Amino acid sequence: MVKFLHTADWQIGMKAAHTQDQAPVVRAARLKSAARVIELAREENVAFILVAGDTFEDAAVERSLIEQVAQILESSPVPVYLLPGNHDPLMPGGVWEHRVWKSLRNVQLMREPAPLVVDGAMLFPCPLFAKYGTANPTSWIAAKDRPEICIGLAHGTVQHAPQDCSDFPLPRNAAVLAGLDYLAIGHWHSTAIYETPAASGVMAYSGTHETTKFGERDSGNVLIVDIPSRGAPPILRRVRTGVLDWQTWDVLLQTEGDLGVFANRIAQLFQPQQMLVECRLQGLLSTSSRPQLASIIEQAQRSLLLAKFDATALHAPPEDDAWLDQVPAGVLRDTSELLRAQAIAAGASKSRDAVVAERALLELFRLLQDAER
Amino acid sequence: MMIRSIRLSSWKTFAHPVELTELAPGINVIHGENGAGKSTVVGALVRAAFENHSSDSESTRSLAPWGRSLGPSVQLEVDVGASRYRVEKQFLVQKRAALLRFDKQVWEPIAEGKLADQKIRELFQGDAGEKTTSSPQHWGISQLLWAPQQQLAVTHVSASTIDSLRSSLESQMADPTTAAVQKACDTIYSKSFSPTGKLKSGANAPAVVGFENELAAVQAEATTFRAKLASYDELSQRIQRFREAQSRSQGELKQLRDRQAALSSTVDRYVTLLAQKQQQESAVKLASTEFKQIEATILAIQQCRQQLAIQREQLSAAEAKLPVIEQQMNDAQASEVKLSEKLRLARDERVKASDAGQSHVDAATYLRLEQSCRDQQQAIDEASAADARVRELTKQLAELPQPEAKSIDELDRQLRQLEQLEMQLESSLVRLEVTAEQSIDVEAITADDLAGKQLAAGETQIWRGSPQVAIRLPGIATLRVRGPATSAADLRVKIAALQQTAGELEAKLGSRNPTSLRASAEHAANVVREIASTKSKLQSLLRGDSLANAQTALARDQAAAKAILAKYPEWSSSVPDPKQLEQTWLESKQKLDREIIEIEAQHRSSVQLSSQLKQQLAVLESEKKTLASSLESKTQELAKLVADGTTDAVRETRKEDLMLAWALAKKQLADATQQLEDLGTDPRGELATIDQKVSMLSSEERQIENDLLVATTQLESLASESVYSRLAQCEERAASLESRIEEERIKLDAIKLLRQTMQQQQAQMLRTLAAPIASRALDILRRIGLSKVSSLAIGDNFLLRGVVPEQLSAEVETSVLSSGEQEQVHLSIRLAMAQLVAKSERQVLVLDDVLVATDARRLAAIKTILRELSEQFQILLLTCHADRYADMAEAKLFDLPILAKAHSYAGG
Repeated sequence: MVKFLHTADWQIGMKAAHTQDQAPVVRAARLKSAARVIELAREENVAFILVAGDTFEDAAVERSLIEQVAQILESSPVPVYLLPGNHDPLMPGGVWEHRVWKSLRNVQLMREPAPLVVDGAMLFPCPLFAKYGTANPTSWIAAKDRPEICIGLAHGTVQHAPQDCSDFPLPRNAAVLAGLDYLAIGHWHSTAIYETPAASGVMAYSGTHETTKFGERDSGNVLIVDIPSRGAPPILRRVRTGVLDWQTWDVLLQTEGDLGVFANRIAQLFQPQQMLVECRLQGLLSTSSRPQLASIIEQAQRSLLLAKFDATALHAPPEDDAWLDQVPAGVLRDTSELLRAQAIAAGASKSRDAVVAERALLELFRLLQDAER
Repeated sequence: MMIRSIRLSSWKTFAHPVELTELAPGINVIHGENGAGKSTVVGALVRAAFENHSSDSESTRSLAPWGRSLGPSVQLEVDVGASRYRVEKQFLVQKRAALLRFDKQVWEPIAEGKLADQKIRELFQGDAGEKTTSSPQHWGISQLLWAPQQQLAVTHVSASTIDSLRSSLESQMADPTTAAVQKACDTIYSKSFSPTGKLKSGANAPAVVGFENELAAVQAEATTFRAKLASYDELSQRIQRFREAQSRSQGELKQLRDRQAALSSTVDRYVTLLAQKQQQESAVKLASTEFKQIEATILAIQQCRQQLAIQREQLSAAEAKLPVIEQQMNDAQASEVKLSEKLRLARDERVKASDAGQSHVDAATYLRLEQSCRDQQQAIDEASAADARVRELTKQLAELPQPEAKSIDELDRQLRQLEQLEMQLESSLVRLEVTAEQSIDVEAITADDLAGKQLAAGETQIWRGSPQVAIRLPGIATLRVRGPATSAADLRVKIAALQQTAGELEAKLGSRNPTSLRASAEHAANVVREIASTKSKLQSLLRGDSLANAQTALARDQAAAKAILAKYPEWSSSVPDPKQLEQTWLESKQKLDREIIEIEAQHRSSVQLSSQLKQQLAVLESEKKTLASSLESKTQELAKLVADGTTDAVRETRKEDLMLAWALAKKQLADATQQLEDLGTDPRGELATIDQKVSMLSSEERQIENDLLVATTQLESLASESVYSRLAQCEERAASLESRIEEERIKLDAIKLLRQTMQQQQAQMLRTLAAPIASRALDILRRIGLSKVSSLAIGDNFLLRGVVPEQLSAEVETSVLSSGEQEQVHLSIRLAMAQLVAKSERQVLVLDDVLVATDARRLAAIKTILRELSEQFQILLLTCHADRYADMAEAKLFDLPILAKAHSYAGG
């Protein structure tokens, strides 16, 4: 029997342009979550930790980050087996050439595809030596006839998985083909388990330990893997390690009351400073309610770690033309009608012109209000 | 506003003060002939209202009347609303400006100097500012109300006046809210945009400019880091390749070095065996040489002894044959000498015969020269005669007159014409023939001959003349005879002209008689033809050469004939026969040739025999010498061969011993060769190749190591820069900036769009507002009676763009209209605009001689309109046709010359 922790894709040092000014916070959170993974290994009393590639985002990340990661890994109470992935392959000048890796006791870098005896099992590591490759990295493994529990450690794209590339392809039944009880893999940031019907041998993506962007379905986890014996099905348990909460909201505003509900939702968020929200506003909102929305957005941007709003699909209700009737006849009335027509015409193609025309209309509304005050 | 009085002093033509007082609030007609000073009054009005008193411009300086030192001054009194003002300005000398208000029966100063200039301009609603304002574009609304002479058309409307027009037009439609929104929008816009619509820069630049600048810098930095990151990857791959190459190189080197070690021992064994083989080869060679040497010595001794015997026999035979051949050669040489002498004699004879053969050639030449000299002499004689004839004829021709046929014909034609004219003259003359019955005096009054005549009784005298002849018989009568209308004078002129040209031709031709002139011309032509014919003959005789050359050739031939005759004097008495001479010479020559050929053949045989014998003798002597020499050398050779001091038997024994030693050496060499063959091919070549490869690979390995070191150093340097992390920071900052820029841009674009849309709408509205001006002007035109214009096109700048004639639907330029119609169109527009800008306040309308081309009917209509307008305007009409406005009873008339004169008297 063997119990271990499977993690991958820490992507330390990754760029986070999509998080605008919060990128340093997002990067720091990944280190914090890495420490959380080590802590979890201690709590779970696992025999070892497998890191299935892409520990680092790139070979040229800041050298201090390498030292910080090494320090976190070295704090592990159990051995850590590190696999070079496609983002951090074993290449000259890569992160693995840093001197820090030579001085660690608990951390072992998988430098070659050769079986390795680990606590309670035989480990078949498949390190990557380049950023791109079209060969199955597990093809060398032949563990069918081995009596001990056999575990593979690899990094690649499961064929037919919803990935946008096919680097280092892995067959869906790679674990079965190689005769492995479990194949720990990395590359895809969401947790995913691949079982082959009527055959022992499971392959799984643990997913990244900390979500990297909006839209990742099931990331921010590690897997605790329990293999009772050679040939027995592994028992997998998903444990959340992510610090940050990335949420994508589609908010539909239909009545004046919806805006209040939306405001309450934001006000009642738990730990908003660890939350990143991407919010698409749709529906109808009267011009007179726009200032209130602006206030809510401002409040959200103050309280949340990151709040991105897209209101291009939010339009004024048809009855909202009422204020246009109040515009003095003449230049202003004609101007407002023309801008309204431009906003509607351009809005059909969701172009920038529509946004500008609508903003101009709002500006006219504001100036009118100021003038009448 | 209403002008109450205008007073000018020292102003252009008005050296003395002139004053127009108590101007009517309605129509005022100020008249005077051209140069009376009407436009001067208008000019003074303009300067009083708009010009700075301190102006020193050229036009201002031109205001001063000639010879006056006083500064030109103007004074106006005007009513504005309920107040009365006085405007005073003096230019050039003691410059001053003052604005006063009549308050409580006293003129109170309001402003003086520059301030007064400014206040006065405001009073007249002119443009603010201190610049010169003499140009209509600075007159404010007065540029529409005041039309100086020849400037009726409105050609420029200043921005302030357009504003005034617009405000007047918009006043019905604009409201405070719109104005406030527009102003607020303008304020927001102007915070970020310059007047040209570009984003502001520098300290006042909007935030987006700063963001964009920062973005550009960040993007540039990111580009640098991307390049470095690419270098990082490239270096990494390069190092990987170096490492692989190094590994391969090291593997190959190891294999080569192993092979190198194995080959070295093989090469050692090979070299040893090779040395042994070479040693045996030397032994075989030595044994072989020694055996062959002794064998050759024995053979040479035998051969030498045989050759000595043969050569001795040959020498004896040669010595016996030598005297016989010497005798034969002497005989042959004696015969050769005799034949040579005989041949020489025969050849001398042939030379003599050859000289004799020249006589028949000389005889033929002599005869040819004799004939030639005779022919040439005859030709030269004829040619000399022809040459003399040509010279004679040429001289004759030079002396002969040679009139041209064309000139003769012209003279003939003119003489005939002259004759005809003289006949016509004669027939055109009136003749008065008087036959006196008693002695009378006759005075010719009109006749060709005006000399007085005294006719005796019975004497007849004829007077000619044309067209009449008149004579007076004193105390009796005056007789006048008129003839036909033919003009004898014309004929005389023609005759005189013809006589002159005929005279000129006569002078040129030398005669007036065409017949004799034609005979002269014919004679000259005959002489010319004879000259040509004689010259042709001369050329034929001399065959194109000159006479002198012909004479020279004759002399040369005569000399040649004389020379031949000197050689053969007998030919002077008897003529030689060249054919006979030639026959004799040929026969003699053939006989001699045959003899010489025969002697030559005998001589050649003798020479040949002698030569053969000589050669035989030489060969024989040479053989004798050779044999003697060979005998000597063979004897010496034999002595050397047998000089070893042994016998032939001893030599034979030695030969057999050496043959056995040679066989043994060959056996040992075969053994050594077999051992080498057992080792295979020569291993030294392969070893050398491997040594070379090892050296090359070692060098390559060192190079790879160096390259690896360089690349690793570079990579480490890049790694220390954390290029990925730095790039990530740049891209994150860029994304953040792009987001902010887009937000800011949308805000700015929105305000720009709002302002632009408002301006467009405003412009659109103004275009519709300009329509009433056109409509009002068109109404005025209809009332004037100009119906051919169906509409007027007025542009955004409120200027007339064109007219649309009734027949056409298209817009055309006003130049298609007559001058009168053009001034009526311009007047209509000016009046329409004036009504708009005047609003409810009374304004002054000045029209300086603007209706100069308008007919009386339309002028009457215009006067009616002006009467109506006088309810709203004070009208100053300046004209030089006072009578045209005499029917305007309500108008106040000002006779400018009278006013000027009155003040002049007052001043005087």
